[in-house]
Amino acid sequence: MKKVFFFIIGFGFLVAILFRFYSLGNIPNSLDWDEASLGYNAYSILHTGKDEYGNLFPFILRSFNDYKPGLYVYFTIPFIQVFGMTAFAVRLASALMGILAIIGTYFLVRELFRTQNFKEKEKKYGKYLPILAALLLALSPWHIQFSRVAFEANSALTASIFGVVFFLIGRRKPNMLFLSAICFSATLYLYQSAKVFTPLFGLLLIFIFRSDMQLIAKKYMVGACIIFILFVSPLIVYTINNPQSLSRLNAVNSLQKENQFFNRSLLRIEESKASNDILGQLFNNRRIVMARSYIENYLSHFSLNWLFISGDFIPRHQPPFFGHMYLWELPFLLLGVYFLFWGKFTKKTKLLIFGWILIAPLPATPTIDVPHAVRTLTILPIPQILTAIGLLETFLWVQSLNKKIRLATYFLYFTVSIFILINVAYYANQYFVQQNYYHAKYWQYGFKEAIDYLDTIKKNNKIIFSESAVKEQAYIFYLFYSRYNPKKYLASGGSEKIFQQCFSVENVLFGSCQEKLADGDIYIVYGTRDGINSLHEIKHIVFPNNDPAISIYEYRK
Amino acid sequence: MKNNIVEKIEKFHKWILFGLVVFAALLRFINIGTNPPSLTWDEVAWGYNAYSLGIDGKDEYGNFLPITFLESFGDYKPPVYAYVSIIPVKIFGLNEFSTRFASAFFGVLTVLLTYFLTKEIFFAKSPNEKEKQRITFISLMATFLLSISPWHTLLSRAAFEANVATFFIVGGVLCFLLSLRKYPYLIVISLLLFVISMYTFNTARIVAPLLVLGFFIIKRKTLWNMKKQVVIGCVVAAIIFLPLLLFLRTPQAQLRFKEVNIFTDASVVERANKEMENDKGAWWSKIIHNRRLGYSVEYLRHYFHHFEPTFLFIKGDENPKFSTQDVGEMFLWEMPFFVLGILVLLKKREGNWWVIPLWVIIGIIPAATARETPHALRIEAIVPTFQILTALGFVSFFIWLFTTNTSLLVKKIITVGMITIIIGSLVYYLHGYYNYYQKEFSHSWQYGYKDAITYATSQEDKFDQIFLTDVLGRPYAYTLFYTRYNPKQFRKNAIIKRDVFGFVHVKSFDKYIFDKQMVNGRNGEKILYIDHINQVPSGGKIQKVFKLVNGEIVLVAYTN
Repeated sequence: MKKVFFFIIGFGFLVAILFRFYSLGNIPNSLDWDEASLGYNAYSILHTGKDEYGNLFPFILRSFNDYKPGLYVYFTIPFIQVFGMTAFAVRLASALMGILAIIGTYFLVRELFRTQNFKEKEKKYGKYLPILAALLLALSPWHIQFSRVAFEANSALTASIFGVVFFLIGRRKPNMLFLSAICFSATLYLYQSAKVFTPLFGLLLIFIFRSDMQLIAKKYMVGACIIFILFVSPLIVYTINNPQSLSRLNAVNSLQKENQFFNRSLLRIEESKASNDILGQLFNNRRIVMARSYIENYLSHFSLNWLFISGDFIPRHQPPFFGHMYLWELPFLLLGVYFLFWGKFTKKTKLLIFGWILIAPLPATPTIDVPHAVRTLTILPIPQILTAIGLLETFLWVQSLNKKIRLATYFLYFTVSIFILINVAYYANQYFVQQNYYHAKYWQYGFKEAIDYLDTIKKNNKIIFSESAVKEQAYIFYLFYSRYNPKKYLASGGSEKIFQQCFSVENVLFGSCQEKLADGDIYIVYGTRDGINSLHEIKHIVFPNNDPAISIYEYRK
Repeated sequence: MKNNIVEKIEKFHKWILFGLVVFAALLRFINIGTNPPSLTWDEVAWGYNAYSLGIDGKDEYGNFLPITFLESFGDYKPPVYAYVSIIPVKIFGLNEFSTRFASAFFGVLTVLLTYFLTKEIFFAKSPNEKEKQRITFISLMATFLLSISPWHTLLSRAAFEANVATFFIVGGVLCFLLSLRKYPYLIVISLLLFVISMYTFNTARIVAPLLVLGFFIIKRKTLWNMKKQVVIGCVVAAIIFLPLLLFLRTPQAQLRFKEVNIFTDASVVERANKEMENDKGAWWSKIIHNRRLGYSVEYLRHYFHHFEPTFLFIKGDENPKFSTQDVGEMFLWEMPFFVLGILVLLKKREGNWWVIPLWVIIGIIPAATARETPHALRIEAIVPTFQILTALGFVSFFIWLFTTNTSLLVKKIITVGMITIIIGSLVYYLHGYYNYYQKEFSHSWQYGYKDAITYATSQEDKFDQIFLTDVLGRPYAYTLFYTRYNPKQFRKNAIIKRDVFGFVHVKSFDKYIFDKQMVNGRNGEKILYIDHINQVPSGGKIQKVFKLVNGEIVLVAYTN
């Protein structure tokens, strides 16, 4: 039995590593703008100590005015130093964080289910559940998706998993509460959504485990709180001094795009006023309409199609024609909910898991593009834990069956295994093969190829990135792929200029700079041609599916 | 306190049930003729065919007592709705109310049956007083939930044959359960009702046999002990089913299904081929990108659509005929109780609990083969199950609440809060339905023909020909309906064409012409045109405009 156990652990590790590191720099086949921005800022901080705007060791990156939480950049710096400015180096930190999350899940489940007092089963739960949950996370399409790209949300997830783990261990070893406080405060420096999730989740933890907290010496609790406040205060001070850093919140607010929603209720209110209909005025009140819209957003995350079949509207969040979980997991997930709800687990475990599920969609609730897999990433590894419970209960039930129908159970195992195998193989194929074909466009494929090409031709003339390319933040790709010297870049004013109509980095121009076109200049268009005469195509870059990506022209009169 | 209430509910359950049925009737019958604002073409066809059958036993085209289908527009409607409408149309005359009467009437009966169905599902062999009270409470709650259900009230307020089929299915399930326990001969009635449902609505043709199959498999031992009744029931059902079986084997019957089903969607195959090409045709690629797997996933996608929270609890069906868009198919407050109800049902497994999951799973099977999902109408057969689950969750929650040792104040606050929310949601829904629905969605109900045709008939004597546009669809049916045209006359003087897809096009009858090419004014005939406003030629003299409820112009009458 022990051998089998180690085999499973070994297998899990192999899967985790294979799925997270295989061809990391090439799949997805391009960095998107946020990844490129994180990469260049890391490079800039590495060489100058400052970000692209000249801020010294920033913990918030202004980037494209979206004020990204900046901690991830610091994780990336050593890898940029070692591996250079490559997609692999930018993404490596996230992949490693992914591995850590799997380990964290193991300990999380062990802590959550170690105190269950139900005799025989208890041992099996304690023994198999942690490894099973960790294995499922290692295989999880949702987790793999964001472990393989430099999306800060993935690191925030790892930090918050460890935050819970240390918190739970902290009930026995109070010192650990300090570590928990550090992990939770780190999430706020890693991803925007954490600003909603972490405080609520912290309160949930304290509420559920209030009786345990009363048992340990006060100084630990107070100490942990002080650490948390100490770590978080710079962020609060920064936000107060730079209110524009909250602009991201407005940019993604779902009500911005719901005007037609309000229009309808405004019409109704006018009518109600005319006919003295008080109920009508009440029911079409803006607050009720807003609440309805938010509830709809929130509930959209409990869609089976979103989870298992179609995924997000944004193609970067899943491989083509795939959801966030395997279809084979669905029955076990549902069984898991059933068994957790009714099973003889402690009330605290139940409350924590169900509370976690209810809090996780909140950061995405007021935003556009819901359901949203990144803003709700912190729900992991709960679906995996539930699926693991469902799997384990099914396994124990089959084992308890009459020996006479053993053959039937072997047949059952065989069929289920085949189904799982096909499902996982399909996922792997969608991710590692089909994704680059179908989704290259959404990963902003083409800039690397274009900039590499520019290196091979003469550089005396101006190079102009047209507006279509600037919309894709061409400048950051240019800085990243040409490894533009950050000292030089900052000396010429840094990124303050990028909000101008036409700006330049040495002889490379960005934006609506057509009037500056001179004979022999290079003109670069993203997607289809802008419609300027006298352009002669010298290079045509296509997506893997042969749709046009970038065209490079020479201007000749 | 709570126990007193539960006891009182038990004591007065007959009165409460009576009250609920009256309430259900009010919600289904009030203003039924004017809200929904007008008749759809299908409703008009039901009404007129009932009218025609009531005159000489023939449908509009002269088929004598058609039992397998009404040809109607070439959609081969299952005919029961027309038959059950004969009496109301005879009594109340051919109008909106009489056309919709059957749907509302059977809707109210479904509410009544739900009470007995719920009792039968949770039936306990030797219940103590408390259990008995609990079951009564659950049954009354389920009845209440169905009586106010946005889903069921809306579908009961228009001539939807699905709503009548739902009644037959609920009746079939109820009789089946009763036959197991008490009255074996009811199985004959049960099977009969299931077969009738198949003559009522297309979807029931799949749901009913699957349900019966499921019941027979699960209850095979009990049925073996009453084989005599079962055999009689099967023979009777088979005889009645035979004509339908013969019809279903014809190409016409299969035509409509092929149009709307997902398995004819070529993009799945194209994608599979592309993906195999990307894999350079490896052998394993042929397995994982097999088109059968692709279609299975597509099928599941459409199946899962019916569990979308937005569909169930926020906006309802996207088609405004089945939802006001203000509330979901169920009320939002029902959601937590619905989920809890599922968990309690599966845990406690009381009585015939298995009926509910079986019913839900089967009820969605046919709807998921179609492209438009989620579809509130095609899954209406599962309607009482969701209400029963919610009632179970609701009652379980409150019984749990009142057995915990929380303070009485908290209990009271929760109870009063809950009652406020229930009433508030209901008022919100009804307020929207009676104040905005007609105005906002009259176009979805093909509003406009009634006014136009009433006007045209009043001018009939002044013109030789009256042209009526088909922009709103099937104008002939509306003309027949609103002129109460004698079906015998219609069969004699109508010009009818049938296209290759089986659709029926009535080009003209009497003075009324529905095909612009047939309008003939060369010999100086006087012609009244009723058309979309964009179609008025320069120099056309507008006689009258016809508006939607919200004031938009939908049709105009003009002369040259």
